[in-house]
Amino acid sequence: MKTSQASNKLWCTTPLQVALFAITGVQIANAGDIRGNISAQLDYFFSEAPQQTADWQGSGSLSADIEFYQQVADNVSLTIRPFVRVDSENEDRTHADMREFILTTDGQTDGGSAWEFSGGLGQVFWGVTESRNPVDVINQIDNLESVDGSDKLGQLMLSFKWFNDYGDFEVYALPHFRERSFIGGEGRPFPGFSIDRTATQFESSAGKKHIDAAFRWSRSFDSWDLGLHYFAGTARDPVFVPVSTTELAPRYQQMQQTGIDALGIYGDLNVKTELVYRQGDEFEHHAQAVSGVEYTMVGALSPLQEKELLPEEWCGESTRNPFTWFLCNDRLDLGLVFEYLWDERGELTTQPFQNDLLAGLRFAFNDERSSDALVGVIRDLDHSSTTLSLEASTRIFESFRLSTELRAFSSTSEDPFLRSLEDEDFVRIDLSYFF
Amino acid sequence: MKPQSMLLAALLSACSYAMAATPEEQGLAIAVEADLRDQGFVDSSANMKMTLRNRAGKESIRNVRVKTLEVNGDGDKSLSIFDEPADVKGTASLTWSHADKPDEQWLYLPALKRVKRISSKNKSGPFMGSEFAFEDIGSQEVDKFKYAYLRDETLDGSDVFVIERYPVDKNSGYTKQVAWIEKDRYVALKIDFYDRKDSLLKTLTASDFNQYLDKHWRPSTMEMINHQSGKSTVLEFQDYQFQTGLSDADFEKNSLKRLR
Repeated sequence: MKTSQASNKLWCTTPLQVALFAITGVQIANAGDIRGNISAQLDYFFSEAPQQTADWQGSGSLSADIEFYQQVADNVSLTIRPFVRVDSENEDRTHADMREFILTTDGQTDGGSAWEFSGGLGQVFWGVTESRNPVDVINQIDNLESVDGSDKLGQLMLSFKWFNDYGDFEVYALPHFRERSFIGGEGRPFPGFSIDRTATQFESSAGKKHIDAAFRWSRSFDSWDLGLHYFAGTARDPVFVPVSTTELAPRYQQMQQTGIDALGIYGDLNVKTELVYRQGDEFEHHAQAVSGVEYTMVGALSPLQEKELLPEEWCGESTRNPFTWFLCNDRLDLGLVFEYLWDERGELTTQPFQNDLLAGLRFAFNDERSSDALVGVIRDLDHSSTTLSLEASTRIFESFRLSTELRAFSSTSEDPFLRSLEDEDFVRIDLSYFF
Repeated sequence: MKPQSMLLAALLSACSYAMAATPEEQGLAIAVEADLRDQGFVDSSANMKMTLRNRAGKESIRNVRVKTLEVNGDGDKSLSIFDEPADVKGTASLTWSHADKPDEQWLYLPALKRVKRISSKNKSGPFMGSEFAFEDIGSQEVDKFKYAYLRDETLDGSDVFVIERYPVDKNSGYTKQVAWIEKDRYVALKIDFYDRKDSLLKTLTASDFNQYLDKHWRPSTMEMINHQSGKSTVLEFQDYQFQTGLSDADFEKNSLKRLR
């Protein structure tokens, strides 16, 4: 075909393009798989930055998160998942990370158990609760990507998993530590203090090269999913030490963490708990927990129509507006989420949720666009500060997803972690193309 | 299926025509016979294309690969892998259905690399925004209903039994279902679903049946029409395969992360 020959010539002009072409060629030849998303994002902060040098309120960014999967031999697969974001104003958010670059092999034994061995940069999630996951210790948080810590940096690992009748057993060796990144003085939302990463300290003399180890057992019972873990190595969350009058340096402690996570399902009621106990020096020695319930009301608004509590014309096809669209949706599932967040260190904690309560509402609209929303309020019972978050998303044009996120902070003046966020309320709108 | 029901079935099918059975016994006997005739498929897999159509005729498409493993003495295990729409690509759900206790269900969310246990009580909720509820798609175990035989009838030239079935689970979205079971092949050609107010909610029509392994009949097309909302969903099944060598290990939650 003429057109493809022409485009081949264009492709092969630089080594990078040759490499890209080779990857695509291999994908097609061996029926690999490419999936991911490219997204455009807009951030808007409702106030001017109070104290630092950030002179902007709106910023736009583009990101790509693409996973290449290739079966390289029988039962051996390679997953490569690069991530990159380029941000127009919020320069700290311009960053790239190899989320995954991992070789995995798996098999089964005659006894009916299965195993999996993998090595490379990987992502491991542990946890059951909504607000925070104290048990999730393997990957470092990508602090630039999201404020809720849900995005993680790729972690170098060797792992072996063994699945049998007694549960799932996982062992990890983690040879290279990834430091947490922080939004700096020109970025937003600004944490209130400048962090000098050149002065980063480690408790271990091996520094980043300390080899961490982790073990986990998990199993499903009739109504319960239970997990136990042990981690020994460098804590992913740093403590901060002053290095000058204006700057702090992160210090990564050594710790031994033992933890449990449990999810109980009783019909529409889910009971969730994560509890960890950390041993280390006097700063590190403490316990943390997140515990709560989620109750789902299936078809929560259907009684309105069943019992004819709504004027009949409201739910007609022609009279729909956002208000009646919501009330007339008899498929809406409404989830009520309550969680208590605790950190034994109290005022000495290194994270904001030491004695806090989350109340949330989850909406699953169950429409053809798979629309959903989550509204949450976290109240700090010691400092009276309140954090509001609203996340909502819907599918448009079959392959796009439009999502929005709003974060607002109030009464934060007494809260050492949230104090500087008083004027950092923002809204984020994201349009992602999936393939 | 439970052994007791099978025994009962054997007794009933031997006796039901000779003796004057009650409508309940006749209805159960028909359901049990339909179940018996489909036993021994071991495992199956197929590609399912869902076309959702709203009242204005606007369509949206989902593509799902479905795999089922027959479990003797209990409900079947099933696996759904979503290929489209693209924003849910790679998402997979695993269900272990049970005859006598709540089903167990897990969801794999590929973006988070997370396997999440989910409540299986949400039976009446829509499957991927379609007109099929989870309970319409899941394994149709004999013990999940009580039955009553209504009458014999002819439907589009086929001789059928018309039976009513009443969901045992109080979380079902239905008070009753009326099923038209073809006498020849013991397959459901049509099912009417009645909502909690006992008014007609939906009608399912199955067509283009093919026989596999000289035994198992499967429809290529299933259409669900919602009479109350005017929406409909068509399921089209392609590439049906049986006894492909799937095992318990393919239906474990730890295998979800490795699915492609």
